[in-house]
Amino acid sequence: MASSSTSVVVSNKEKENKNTKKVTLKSSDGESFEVDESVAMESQTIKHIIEDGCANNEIPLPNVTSGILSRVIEYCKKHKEAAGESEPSVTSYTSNSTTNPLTEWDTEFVKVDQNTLFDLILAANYLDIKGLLDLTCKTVADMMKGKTPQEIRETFHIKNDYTPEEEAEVRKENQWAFE
Amino acid sequence: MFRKLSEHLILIIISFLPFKEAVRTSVLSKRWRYIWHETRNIEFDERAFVDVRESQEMQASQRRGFMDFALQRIQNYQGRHIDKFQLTLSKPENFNGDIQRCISFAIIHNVKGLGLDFSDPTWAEDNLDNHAALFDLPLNVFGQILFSCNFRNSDFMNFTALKQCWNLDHLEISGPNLRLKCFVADNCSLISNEIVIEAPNLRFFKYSGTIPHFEFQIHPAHMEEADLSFGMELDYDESIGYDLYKLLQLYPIKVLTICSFMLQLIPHGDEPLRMEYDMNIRHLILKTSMHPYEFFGIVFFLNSSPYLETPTLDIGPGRIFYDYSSPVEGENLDRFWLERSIRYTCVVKSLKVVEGTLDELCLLGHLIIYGKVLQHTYVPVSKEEDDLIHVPLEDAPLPTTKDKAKCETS
Repeated sequence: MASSSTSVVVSNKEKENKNTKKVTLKSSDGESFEVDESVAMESQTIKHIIEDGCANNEIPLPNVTSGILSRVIEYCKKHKEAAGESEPSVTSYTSNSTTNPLTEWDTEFVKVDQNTLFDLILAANYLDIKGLLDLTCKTVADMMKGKTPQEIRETFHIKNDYTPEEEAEVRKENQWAFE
Repeated sequence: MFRKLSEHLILIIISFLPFKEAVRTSVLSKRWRYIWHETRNIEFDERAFVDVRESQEMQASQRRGFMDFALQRIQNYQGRHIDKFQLTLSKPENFNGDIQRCISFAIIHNVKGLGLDFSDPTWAEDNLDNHAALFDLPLNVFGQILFSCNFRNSDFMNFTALKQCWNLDHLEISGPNLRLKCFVADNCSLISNEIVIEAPNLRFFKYSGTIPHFEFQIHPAHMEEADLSFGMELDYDESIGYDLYKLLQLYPIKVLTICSFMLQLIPHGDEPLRMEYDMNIRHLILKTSMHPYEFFGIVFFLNSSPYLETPTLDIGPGRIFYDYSSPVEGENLDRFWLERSIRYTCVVKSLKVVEGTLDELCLLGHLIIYGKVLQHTYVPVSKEEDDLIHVPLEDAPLPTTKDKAKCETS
């Protein structure tokens, strides 16, 4: 009698754990973040670590600082929630129209300083989160659009290491693009 | 800032830029010189190379330079996948092989969006210099590709394209003032099942493949001939009859070629016996295997075509659907023609039959009886079947000699 009731209690607890399984992510500067496993698996990198059974205690992420990691987690949470609610998006015929209900949220999300933006690119790449990588890269591209090469250099602090002759040669190589 | 990023990441960023701007990144610094070569967003646009203010000769030379540039780029491309490939080129008739190469390149690299724009910016609406360009572009386009083709203002008269297009997603052929007269799609199967054709001058339309949803914007007065072949359809679905019926309502064509599939299914559409109104068909080519399941379809077209002058029976194998059910109950398909006494109002001037067996000759006899002004009958029969031609003719009731009738057999 007693043993059977104990086993009932045990199995309830297991079920509870399965519903909200968590993982702990540790940033490069030692901070720990506990997140739902399903949210963490937005990152293909983390997904593979978990599936390979190597995620016992914490998953160390030596390439990501706590500041960046907390933002990445925010992104993953938001997108995981949204994926749960809506139907899978249908690819539209024109690349202009958007079927992403989170467009506005994403736009706000990337309104950050350049340093943070580039760090987010690196983190998205390392953690293999395609949506975040595309979002951040496109943001940088949008900052480049319509600018002259000199303006781009100034915006992003790119040093021009061409000699004037070399630069002229490069321009001549693809003259049509510079007219 | 960019120092932090690998070239792989810079390339992802560049791939979000319009192609021209991607090329300009070459001048930012030494590191950037060649990264753009592998951009996944490729747009070859002749307008960046060809100056319309120059003479035609100069433009032709510039256009050649443009095409050489495009070819060089695709030959040296190192990446494995591309997202978008856009080619904008007027006078495509001079660059057939090169265009093929571009398209093959795009497909091999699993392009997601392929766009061809053959508009001619120098075309003037009142341009009486009618240089009729004949352009054949046989495309082997397959895979899940968003394909768009723009022929705005181009002088094309013919467009033979889209052979073996499997899983093409959304085909759109459009452009205001499109002078496209002839469109051929051979063996096409579309995922999204939608073909939009905005071609007000279209005269000839030939399509073979699975049945898509067609959206036509054409001028009915111009449409002359259509050839519809849905032999690729594998499913027998009676509701398709409605789509087929609708398809035929769109234009008062004079020459119509239809396939066995249509014959089996059209009577299951809105009307089982004939079109709601008279069709303008003068020459009807029936690609039929003369199987009983096609008979209702044949009658359908004969009933709908009061102006029919030349029915042609092109007899060959067809896909017969054994799920077929007759649209009218109680018909004895074995004696279909012998028992039929519907009067056709079509004025059958000549009748062409390719090959002959009993069923066909019964139909033949049937048409001879009811063809009021029959002038000429031509029935080629293969030598082995010489005997066959005599026997059924005795069985089938023949008209008494009409003054103008001339029967020719070989």
